[in-house]
Amino acid sequence: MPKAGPSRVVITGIGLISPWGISIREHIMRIKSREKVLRKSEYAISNFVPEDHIEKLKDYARRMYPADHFSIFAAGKALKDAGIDVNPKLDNSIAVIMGSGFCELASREHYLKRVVNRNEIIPSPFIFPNTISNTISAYISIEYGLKGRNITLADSRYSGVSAVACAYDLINSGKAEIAVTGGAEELSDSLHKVIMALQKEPGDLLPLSEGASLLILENLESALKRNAPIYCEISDVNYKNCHVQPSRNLCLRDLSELEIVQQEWSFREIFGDMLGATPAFMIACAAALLRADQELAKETVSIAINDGSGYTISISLKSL
Amino acid sequence: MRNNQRQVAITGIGIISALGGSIEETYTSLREGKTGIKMSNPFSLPDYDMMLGVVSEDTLARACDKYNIKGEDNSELFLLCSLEEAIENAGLKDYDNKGCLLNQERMGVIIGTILGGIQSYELFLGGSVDTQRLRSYPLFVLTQKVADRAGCRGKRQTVSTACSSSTIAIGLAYEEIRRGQADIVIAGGVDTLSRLTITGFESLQASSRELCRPFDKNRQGLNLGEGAAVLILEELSHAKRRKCPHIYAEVCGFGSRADAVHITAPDRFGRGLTATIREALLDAALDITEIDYINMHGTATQYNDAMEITAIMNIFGELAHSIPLTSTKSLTGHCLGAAGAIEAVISVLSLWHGFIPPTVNFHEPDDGLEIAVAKTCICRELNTCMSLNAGFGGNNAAIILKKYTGE
Repeated sequence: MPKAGPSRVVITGIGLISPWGISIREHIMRIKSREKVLRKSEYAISNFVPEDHIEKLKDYARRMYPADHFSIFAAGKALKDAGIDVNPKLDNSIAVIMGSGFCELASREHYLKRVVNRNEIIPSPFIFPNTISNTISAYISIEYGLKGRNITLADSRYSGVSAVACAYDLINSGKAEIAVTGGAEELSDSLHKVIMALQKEPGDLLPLSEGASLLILENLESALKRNAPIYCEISDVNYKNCHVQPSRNLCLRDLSELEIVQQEWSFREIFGDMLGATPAFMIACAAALLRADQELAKETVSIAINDGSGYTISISLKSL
Repeated sequence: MRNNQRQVAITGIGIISALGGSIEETYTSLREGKTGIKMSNPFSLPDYDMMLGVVSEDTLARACDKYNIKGEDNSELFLLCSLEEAIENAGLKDYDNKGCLLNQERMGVIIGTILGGIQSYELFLGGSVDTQRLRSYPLFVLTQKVADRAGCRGKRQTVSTACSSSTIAIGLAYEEIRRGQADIVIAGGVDTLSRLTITGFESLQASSRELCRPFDKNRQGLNLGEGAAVLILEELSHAKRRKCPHIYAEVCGFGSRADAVHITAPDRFGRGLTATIREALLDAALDITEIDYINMHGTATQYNDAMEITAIMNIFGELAHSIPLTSTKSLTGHCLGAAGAIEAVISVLSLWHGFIPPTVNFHEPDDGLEIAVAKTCICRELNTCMSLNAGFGGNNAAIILKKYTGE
């Protein structure tokens, strides 16, 4: 039973997948290159064979949607990176807290086009279960046998940071020792239309992209006890309402890598708009930069995501 | 005070469902055991005359008129009507009007929903509305609307964990206040009937064309419903300081665990729910003998009810034969992401008025599962109540409420 009381929270594992690669190194290299995405419509992940990366749920893989595949894959990588050997047969209380603003859209579109447009009265029973929003967290728990709290937060563009903050609260308050957390999104026909409808200024639209970024958050004591690799500590999580618009059109050449991962707009310019998954990618890249560069040991990195109306979640990271 | 932790009071409640558009109408229907489920076909789907718990147009229109609410999607209307009722009976409006402004930075909103503005999305796909209507679809929009209307500037979360969504929303709100991160959190849930869910549960052969019969030996499946419920959770001393008109109950325990077994089917040994109940009891520092009543998930599907009874037997043992339990889904229908919030409000009413609502249509228990299902309304003083929910993905959640005694 996890102990009660505030606990220090550290990041001990990272797993990523996006059109830009499946490793943290590839993502850091792209930041270093400062190359912007082209203004084409969207960037999809290609050449990814889900069945190659899914074991327990292999038979279900073809019925799942891309965000489910990405999440399972990235969660597996993050657990491995953290040195956590999960045995689905054993009881554990590892939590899964995922964020996705729109990941259910593709499955709902697929299902409803049959019902609404094709007048199919009783569609296949295998399609409907995937239309719920929490498949991403549910499939991770089933694949790896994670029996702790299991939540999907659907908080639009700040879903990823909302999930990491929720996982932080869970560990900080002593309710869990380890949480798998992050964000995932997938492209769909309706997604662009929904984003356009939500956009206050159409000029703000960047090319859409997809992927998943998963982190292992862990109680410091637990991480030290098992000699886990530690990327950095999450030193603070803050919620506030400040009507500050994110900085736009910054010259990427003038920004350091660490500044890029702290600027939401710059990050999206490099990787495309992964919507609710973007904040989780920003946190992952910041954590990797902090661990890689000892010079940054004294820096506190703050990643703040604004929902456009002023509501902001910020997460502060620092080296141990 | 337990472990010197902050106590969490429920100071406002609002509800809309097939039982009515207000707390008062809901209470009357519960006491009379009058089900809101009837034969309907709201989307005129061929061969889809179903038993559904529909919020009538008249009920919705009256609630919207009362609180001057306008909107495009029923999910938004349901939620805002419930919000206004909860704010009204929490005395938050009066408090604001007297110039004693609340610290909005310490007011949060956590809403549970599966479907968001699904009706708008379905209309868009059918070609009957334009792209702009899609603004009402995303799930977080509902949380944003509640925060804007109630003037909350603190944490916002939109929980989507299938049918346990709003129980988890309430649990997270309770933890937020206990940790000292907020003084007030508006928690609730909403979901509307839709083509997606009506045809979806039929495709799984999980819905019944007859009135549902939770825990009955001859249960055939669930009846879908719709609605919303909102609870104002508030730190107890904060509520006392502002002399709020009601302290309906306290939230004193929360647990949530995953089955990690199957995407739709529950763990047949009820292990996830068992761990969930155990966690909630531990959190509340209560013994099994101290639970007076359990509001069950009780969907009336074969698998859910069997799993739930197994979990209850695992925890309560012999006591399971005597603790009264009900499934109020036999009255409201299964309101999916709103179910947890609706059942939490019903549980609050049970504690407040001292009664246990009936499980209508329950006649005969399953062989060997001798549990104390309340068939008729029981009037009894209650001190504690547990409300359970479970959902697709193997999500389980339990909250424990207790009567406020002034201590």
